[in-house]
Amino acid sequence: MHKDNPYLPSLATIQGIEDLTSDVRLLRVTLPAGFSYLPGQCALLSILGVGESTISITSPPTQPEYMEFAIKRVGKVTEAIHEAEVGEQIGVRGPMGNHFPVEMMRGKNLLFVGGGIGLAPLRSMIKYAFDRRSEFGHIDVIYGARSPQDICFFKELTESWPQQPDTAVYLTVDRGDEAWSGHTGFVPAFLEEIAPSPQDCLAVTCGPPIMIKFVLQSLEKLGFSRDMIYTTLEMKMKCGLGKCGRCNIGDKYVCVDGPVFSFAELGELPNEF
Amino acid sequence: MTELWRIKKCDLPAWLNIWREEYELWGARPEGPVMRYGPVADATELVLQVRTRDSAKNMFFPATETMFSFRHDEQGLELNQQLPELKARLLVGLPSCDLQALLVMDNVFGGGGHADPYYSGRRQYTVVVGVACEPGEFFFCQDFGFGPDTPTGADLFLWDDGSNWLAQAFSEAGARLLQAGDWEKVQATVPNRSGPGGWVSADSVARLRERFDDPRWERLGERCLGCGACAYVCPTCHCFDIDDMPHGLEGGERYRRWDTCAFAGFTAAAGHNPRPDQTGRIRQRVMHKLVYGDFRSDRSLCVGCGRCVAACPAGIDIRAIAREAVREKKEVKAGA
Amino acid sequence: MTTIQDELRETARTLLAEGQVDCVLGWAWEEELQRAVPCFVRAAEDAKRLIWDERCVVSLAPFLLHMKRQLSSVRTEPSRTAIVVKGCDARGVVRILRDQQLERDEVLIIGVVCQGVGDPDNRPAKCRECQYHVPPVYDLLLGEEPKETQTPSSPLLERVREIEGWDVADRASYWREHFSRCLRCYACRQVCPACNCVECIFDSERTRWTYKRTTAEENMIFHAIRAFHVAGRCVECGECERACPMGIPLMEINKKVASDIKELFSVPDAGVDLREEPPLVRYETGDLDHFV
Repeated sequence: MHKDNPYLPSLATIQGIEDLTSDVRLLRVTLPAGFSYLPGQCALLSILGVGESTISITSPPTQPEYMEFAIKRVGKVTEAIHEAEVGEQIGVRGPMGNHFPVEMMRGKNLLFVGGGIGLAPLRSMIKYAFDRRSEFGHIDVIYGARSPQDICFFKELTESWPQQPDTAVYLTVDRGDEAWSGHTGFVPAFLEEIAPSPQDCLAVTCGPPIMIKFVLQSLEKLGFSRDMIYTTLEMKMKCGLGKCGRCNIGDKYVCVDGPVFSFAELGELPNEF
Repeated sequence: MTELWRIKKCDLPAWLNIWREEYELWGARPEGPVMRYGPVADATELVLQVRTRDSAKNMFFPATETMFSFRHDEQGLELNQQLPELKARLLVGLPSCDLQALLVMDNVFGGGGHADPYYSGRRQYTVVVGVACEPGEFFFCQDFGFGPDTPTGADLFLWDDGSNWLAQAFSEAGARLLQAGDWEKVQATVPNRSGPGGWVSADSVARLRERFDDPRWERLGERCLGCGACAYVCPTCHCFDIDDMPHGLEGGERYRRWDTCAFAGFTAAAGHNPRPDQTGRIRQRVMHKLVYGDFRSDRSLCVGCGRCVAACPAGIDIRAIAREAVREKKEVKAGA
Repeated sequence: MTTIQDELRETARTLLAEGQVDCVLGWAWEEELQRAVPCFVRAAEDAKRLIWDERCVVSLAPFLLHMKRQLSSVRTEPSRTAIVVKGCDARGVVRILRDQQLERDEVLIIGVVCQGVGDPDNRPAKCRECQYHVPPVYDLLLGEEPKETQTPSSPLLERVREIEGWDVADRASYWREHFSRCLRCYACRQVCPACNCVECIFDSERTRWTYKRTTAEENMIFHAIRAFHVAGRCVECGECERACPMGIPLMEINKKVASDIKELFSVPDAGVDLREEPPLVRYETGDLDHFV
């Protein structure tokens, strides 16, 4: 963050671009000086002349060389980000907000339940845990996408992550195709089928609002208590500093108090997220 | 008894004019058919003890301001922050509610670990002279623990004493202003009138918090047309949006502008709007003002100035909403 | 003697009791505010809250559209609303219906004969030039039709003629000064029965040729677009000017445009006929197009 002016972005150079799906692109950018973060935090990315958008950081902080963002094309800023090329500079402000409860997660089993682009913030934590594998217990990753073509980080999900010690990855799609031999069905039902144990386990979920709603119900059915289930909110942030007021819900500002909340905390807030 | 300075009302403009070399003089004066705060060339133009149509927030947090400019060239991208010119300003005539509001805004923009250089730059060099107010239509300051004579927030405050002002300084800058006049010192009791009140109470705030799902919000939602008049005349509504405006292909500027939770698009993002109807939006404004407040301080985000009540084209009255909240009757009243 | 207000309450009560409408949109008196405010009556026994007298300044037409749009976001079954209208408000309802924002059978128009609203010694400009003491369109009419009507003079039109006489530079600075106060709260737009676009271009994040900035140029563009967009459709209800917290004399612009349209196209006032075709909304092959 700029020392005297928190609205002034730092500049980062795009080092690499990879299409994860037809509308999700992975951007690898240089890490601006002094930018240090923890899994779950986000940054405000700028295409100067178009605007700024809140994007969660998908790379782990254990990676000191660069930062990665998985960006879905949904509005004018994300469209412009998709048009950017390697070597171009983009604006970066952050890191904003809180992070996943890393200290609390240490020594515990971890369950990640993601849907669609919602894997992006989880990936930062997942890779952080892999890089410090001995500090965490068993890891389950349950991920669903609309179709096989919409699976983000397919290679990692199918190749590198299942290779990690004491780790299981489960994939599902809402609708398969001829080539798909994996599981077909919605994430909450799949989760109940897999039935991970709530014993000594902390769950983190992120995805479309409707998925999150039913995942919460399934987790509770499996015996997870609300204070052991975390999510990250995708409220429209603008300033990231708790001033512009857009992300205010009840007594909280998502950009200051969040974006990471436990469901115990969310239960205290009006249902406006 | 307090030691106060007695200033003849007729001497005030000449005294203020002494400071014109050093300060840009600001205060209430007519703009077309409405009273607003703005710069004046001569202190005789100032109108005191009048309720301006909107607040003084425009002076520190303009409705639109450029934050920085940018240029693309072969070397890459260059950003140039455009901080406000640091001008010393003397703002004369803020009533107690606007002083309270200024303290709220100081917390919002100055607090929370991130000072806003645009607001702070303007605020830092402004000396504020408060003036006791003549409470009028829709005021309800007493509900927030102060009245028309409360000087909190002013560098210098003037109480009305017939043909004189009784002045007291509350900061070095205020004391310095007084030294320029050859005023008589008097021992007097500081006036302390009660203001209008009786609408917002600890009880009504607690009830509002409990009644997030009360059907009466729907009745308000169908009346609230979704304009921003209430928020834009409010001295503490501080929500804003940030956007870019390109200048040709090579450069442009990033600016911010006022925004409000009453607008339909305020929280809309990527096809999802967590407040999809006006019921949620008007509730958000009332809740933020009266219930949630600002996380940086205990100050209420409403100061009882009544400007929103006067401005609402639909006749929505935040006072009545608070009062209605403590009524047990389920029946819907027109005002709430 | 039975007043219009008595008749109105009885009518509303009957309509609700018989289930002919779900809601009657009228005015109620708000004592603490000392104002008549829009009131949505849904139960027959609440009909007694309705008032009708010269305190009923606010036009209810924009509230009708707003309420229907609000409802459609939570409910799908059709509903029929009765709305109480003065002559000027009736023209607003015509605007909304003619612009196909609501279906005719969703609305039951209760017209009231009106001799002017507001302070009798200081009537709004629209009342001083009113030619529609009887609403031009209604389903039910309350009150006696006046025997003879005379065409009143229009102080607003006189003001327009006066401004027309100024130099271009004087006119420009006059409007620049007024528009400089605009805070872009969009109260003028929200209360306008003709500003009924589902998404306004000023709200679209994809509009990249005009910005929500309160600079002199952007405010000028906003107000020019607003005036042109309602040209020939503005029903001269004056609500924009009433709602403007900054006191911008928007009706001077609206009147100028309305009078030009009448002169150029020889059309009647806007909003007096449910079959009207506003001249700038209609295309004819013989239209002038040398400027295209």
